[in-house]
Amino acid sequence: MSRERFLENPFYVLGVRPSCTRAELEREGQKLLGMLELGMPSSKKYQTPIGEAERSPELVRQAMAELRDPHRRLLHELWAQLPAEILPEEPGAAAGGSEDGGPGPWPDAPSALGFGAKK
Amino acid sequence: MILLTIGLVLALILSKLWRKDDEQTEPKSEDLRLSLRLAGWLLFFGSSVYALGQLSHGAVQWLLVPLGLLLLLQRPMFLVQQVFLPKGWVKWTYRGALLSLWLAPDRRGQALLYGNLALLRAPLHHDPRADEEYLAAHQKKLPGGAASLVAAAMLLARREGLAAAVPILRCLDTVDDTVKPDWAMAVACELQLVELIRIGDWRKVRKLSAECKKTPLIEFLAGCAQVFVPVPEEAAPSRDRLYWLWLRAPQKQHLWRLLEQAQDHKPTVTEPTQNPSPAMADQPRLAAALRALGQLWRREAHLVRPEHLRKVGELWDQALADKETERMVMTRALTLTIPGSEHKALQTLRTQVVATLHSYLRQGAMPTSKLFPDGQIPNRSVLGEAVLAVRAELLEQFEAATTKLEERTTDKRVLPWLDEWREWAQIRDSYQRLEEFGGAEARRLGWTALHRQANNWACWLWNARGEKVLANAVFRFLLRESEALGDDRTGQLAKKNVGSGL
Repeated sequence: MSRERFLENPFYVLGVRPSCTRAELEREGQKLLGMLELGMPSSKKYQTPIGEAERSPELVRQAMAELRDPHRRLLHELWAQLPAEILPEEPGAAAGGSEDGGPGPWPDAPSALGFGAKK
Repeated sequence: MILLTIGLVLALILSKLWRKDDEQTEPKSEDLRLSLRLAGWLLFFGSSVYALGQLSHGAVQWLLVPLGLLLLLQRPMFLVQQVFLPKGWVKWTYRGALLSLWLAPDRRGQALLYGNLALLRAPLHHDPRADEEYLAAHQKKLPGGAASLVAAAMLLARREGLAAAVPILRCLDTVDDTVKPDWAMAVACELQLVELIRIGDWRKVRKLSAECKKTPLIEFLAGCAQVFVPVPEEAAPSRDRLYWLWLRAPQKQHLWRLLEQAQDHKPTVTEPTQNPSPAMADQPRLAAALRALGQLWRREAHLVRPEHLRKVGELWDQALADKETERMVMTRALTLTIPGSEHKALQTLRTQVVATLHSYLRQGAMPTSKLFPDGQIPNRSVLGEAVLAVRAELLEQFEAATTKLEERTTDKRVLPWLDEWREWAQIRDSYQRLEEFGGAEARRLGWTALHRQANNWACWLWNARGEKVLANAVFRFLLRESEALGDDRTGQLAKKNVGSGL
């Protein structure tokens, strides 16, 4: 568990605020399960402070189960204090760039430079 | 008659060549190489005289024999490098290189490396599995020189990714120079540089490219690194110089973007991050700590500066000790009808934060010496706890790896040559991570276990297994470490072992 504290936080998975009631949670969970079953595109992704993530019916069911236990819910609430939107870049750190001044990671470099399987 | 004589001489040469191949009898093979070269030149002069004599009868085709011989003697790799390899014909490249490198040491290893390079250039529609199997089958028969190792690393990179091959390539630094062809070392260097570019670590690109033998690709990447990571005492290359380096580099179409970025690059001025922004100062401490941690996870680990990480630790220490956080947790506990559970929740939150920082630090991109320059690790802070946990874990992993090696040496369990190299690469990698993260203190802790186990293992490889290249590389590494740590006793032993040669 590392990035997952943000990425798989049940509140972000269900798209609700930590202060919501138990009934609201259940309603939102059931609504998302229905939307996923119908294959609605808007239900397949959700926002977290560190980026977008894939939503699946298993993840939604797991999130609902986690939040039914008040002790576990309290902890998840603490990790979900930030709104579900991507954090802005800090001053002095260019998007996607390296702090060394380099152009940042280049995932396709091995194949582009002839040292990996061609794509 | 003359043709028959030439054919017989060639057949004799070739049969001798096949039989002598890969035997580690250096002086004898040197003599053979010299004799072959001499015989080649004699054949060239003889055939030239004959061909010139035939010219008067109008038989121009005889000129092809001396011309072919000249090409073979002067540019033996012409066909392989200019035709077979760019076309991606693996088997032709391997066989052609094997034949053309008739005078070179470790020619099977070098031929295998050429074969691997050809595999990377195979056309898209071509199914590479048969070629891969062909190369893997030849790889098993090799004695394990440096070129063979680079070839094996390339095959590994193809299957498991470049990152899996890099620890093996790093081990080449202590391999004896006599079994390290320059061009194979340049390929190994290019592979490591490409992996560094993949993850965007230009600081290491700059450092490594300065140590490598120069090739057009390495020179271009070194030029870019000088621009991206400027050093005050060294001038960065101009726009024109970069353009010239790009012109000489291979894969130009893919490097164009990099050239543009380097030419347009302006050094960034990093703003100090010690003072929180006004928006951050107003928000609750818990939210500020979460925000800082989230920012950390949004970046590549090697791009994070020590002050950022220290700031995250400080913010969490403040948030966890904050009365407002406690009040908020208490209120929520009451709302959720679990009064009295706030202390346990805060304690669990602290444990989770330490685990999260631990998981972040495990990537090993931030040495303790940079994180705590005064050498004092505050064990009451979340960051300090995470650092101590990572150090203990790295030491435990390293000791487990060396113990495994010791058990195998005692039981005399033999592995194929490549697996022996992989195990050594894993131990070196683990030792390096321990050293990079924990500094001199951790290096000394690891050294005692490393020396005993690795020395026994290398002696077994040298005495009983005949894996002399690997054993010698291990002895050289142990010698380098004992000198760096000022350990005279182990240093003398390592010096004696290195002196045993190959």
